[in-house]
Amino acid sequence: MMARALLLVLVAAASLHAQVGFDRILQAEREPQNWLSYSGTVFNQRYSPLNEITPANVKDLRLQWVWQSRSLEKFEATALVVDGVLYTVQAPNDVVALDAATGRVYWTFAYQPAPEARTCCGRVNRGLAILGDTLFMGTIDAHLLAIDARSGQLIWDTTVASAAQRYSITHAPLVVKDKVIVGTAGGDMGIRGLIAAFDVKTGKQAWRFHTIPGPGEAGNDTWSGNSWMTGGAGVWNSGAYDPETNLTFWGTGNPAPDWDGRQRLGDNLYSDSVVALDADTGTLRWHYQFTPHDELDYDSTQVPVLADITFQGRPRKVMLWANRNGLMYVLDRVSGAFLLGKPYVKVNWMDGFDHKGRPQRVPGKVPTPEGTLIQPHVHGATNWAPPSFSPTTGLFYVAHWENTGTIVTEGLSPRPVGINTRQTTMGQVNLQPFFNTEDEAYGVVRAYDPNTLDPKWEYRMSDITWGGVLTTASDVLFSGGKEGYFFALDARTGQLLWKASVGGQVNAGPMSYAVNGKQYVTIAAGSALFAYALP
Amino acid sequence: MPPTTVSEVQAAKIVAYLRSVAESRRSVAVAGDAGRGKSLFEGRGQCATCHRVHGSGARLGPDLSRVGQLRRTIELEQSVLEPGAEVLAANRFYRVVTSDGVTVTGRLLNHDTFTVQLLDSNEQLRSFVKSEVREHGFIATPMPSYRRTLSAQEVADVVSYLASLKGRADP
Repeated sequence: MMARALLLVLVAAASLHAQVGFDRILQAEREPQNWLSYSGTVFNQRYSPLNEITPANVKDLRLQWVWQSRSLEKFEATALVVDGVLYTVQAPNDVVALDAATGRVYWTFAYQPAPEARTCCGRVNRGLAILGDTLFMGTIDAHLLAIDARSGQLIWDTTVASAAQRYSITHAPLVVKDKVIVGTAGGDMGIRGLIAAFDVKTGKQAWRFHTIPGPGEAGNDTWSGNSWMTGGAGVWNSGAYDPETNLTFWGTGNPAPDWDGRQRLGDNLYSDSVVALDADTGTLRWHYQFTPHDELDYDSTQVPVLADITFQGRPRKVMLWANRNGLMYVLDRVSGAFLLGKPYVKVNWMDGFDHKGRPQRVPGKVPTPEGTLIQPHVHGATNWAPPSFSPTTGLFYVAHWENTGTIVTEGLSPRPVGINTRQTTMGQVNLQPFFNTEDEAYGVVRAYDPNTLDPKWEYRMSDITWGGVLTTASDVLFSGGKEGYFFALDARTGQLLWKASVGGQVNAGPMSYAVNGKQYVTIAAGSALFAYALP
Repeated sequence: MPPTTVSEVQAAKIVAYLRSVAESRRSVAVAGDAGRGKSLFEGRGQCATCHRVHGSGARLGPDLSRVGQLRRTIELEQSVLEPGAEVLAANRFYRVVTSDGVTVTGRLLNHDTFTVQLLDSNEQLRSFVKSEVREHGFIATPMPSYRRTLSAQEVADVVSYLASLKGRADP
């Protein structure tokens, strides 16, 4: 309640505020000081055009600030930064706005998930989306929230699916035009997965795509009996968007029950797949299934990485995918055609592809009463942690595991191989004692040539890693891992350039932004967020 | 406030009592009309230039979408007539003069020994390092008293409107 003069000031000022329009999100590379979506752009390349931090000066990085979350959960979120304000998630579902230069708090939005909320692997959240002045977050009780980015006030709250039926949302939503798109996790608990789009203004559902076709729909006959009703195929990592084709791409999770396919005979479409949907209608345009009739829990919930490259001598619009099943892929993202695929770790469950790119299964490499050794591990060669593609180097960078395997036994949960089963645990908050030899699994960051999928270099860690990868225009690569280091590599050679001990496990992807021309790079580790910059 | 040993049932009774106090009849001398109050709020009173209700209005002042649940009418009336008499800590205003002489005022969001964070009058989230600014400190609420600009009936109307704000409207 103020004088009229102030009204005029406010009206004038309102026109000065730069809203995050969808055009800004589509052209995020034009404003490298900001980080406007989970992996930086709708192509999910997790590549920053910033170049103040270089291979020559990265050794001088200094900690600028730390923000400690009030949470004992894993910190898996990648922050957004918009014009000097950093937004992140305090697990499970509180949203925090910080000054990106100092880490001081502007506001906190607190959300109490319903008590019936269940997640398989931690009460986690991987991030937010933004459009205009509105932040969007999925919750572990399967709601989608719209939050005022200026004030932290709730704008709308839509129930996407039933938490009581074990649906949850753990990934960062994807904004496409006037819609915000999310998928539901819970694939290990007998859900029927879905991807849905909601109006950004009202929260009203615009379309819904079930990742398991219903009766009468193409693909329903890939599920025996009524297994389609509880067949899983959850969605728990962010999708991508290609404005040229108006397609949005999403990876789907394993069919359920995870390690026993006897109750769900068939290929189990569209589990362990990437689905390409019309972003306006949710209509399926194409799909590619990475692991038909999966009995090994090889979720395909990695983020789709889109790139325009010269592939085997001709320009191609491709999708790069390092899958949990130990195979790496190049797909034509316009048609869905399989262009190239090959193992990038030890793989024993398949031994080649047919001409359509369907993996040829090795007989007997399935759960058996006596137990079968399967490579790679049930947690994968890589899992959900986001990779990076650098248009500067043309290389695809993936943090993953080597020398892993699992013993799968009919009707039982799989058990790790080796005498020390601590080797391949889920990511945790705190550092754990580590005793393993290299033969018992180790972690790498490896650079791959998308034309051949051959490795160009690797950086080895003693322990496995659940950390993501960031590359920058100055050819610096940032990553971290279970050992609690945040480190920088030369993106062209893999040489270690710098490291910092962050005192907790890294379970997130790094990102970079700038304030007043100063480049920062952040990483979540333990239950805190760390920001580094040059002095 | 020290910890208590009251049971959940006792705590529920205390909460019920406090809510009944908040629901108590208004104290203004004349009966108000919430509809007229809404018109004043959005029109001549220019309240929405600082306050937000159900997603409409500015963010500089407190969001009033639930103020009828949280405040007694006597408190609402006091806020309209003597807005500076009692200001919640979360609604305090702050002023910064930058090293180049620019004055920034806004609602204080947070401050510490070295820095201060505001929502400024342009609704921008702003952060300052105290040692790098010329001046900084608390200022009085910018909200004017409506004692001379609204009649007693109009004040009652606005208070009735505020008292009717009990939560979110449908989007």
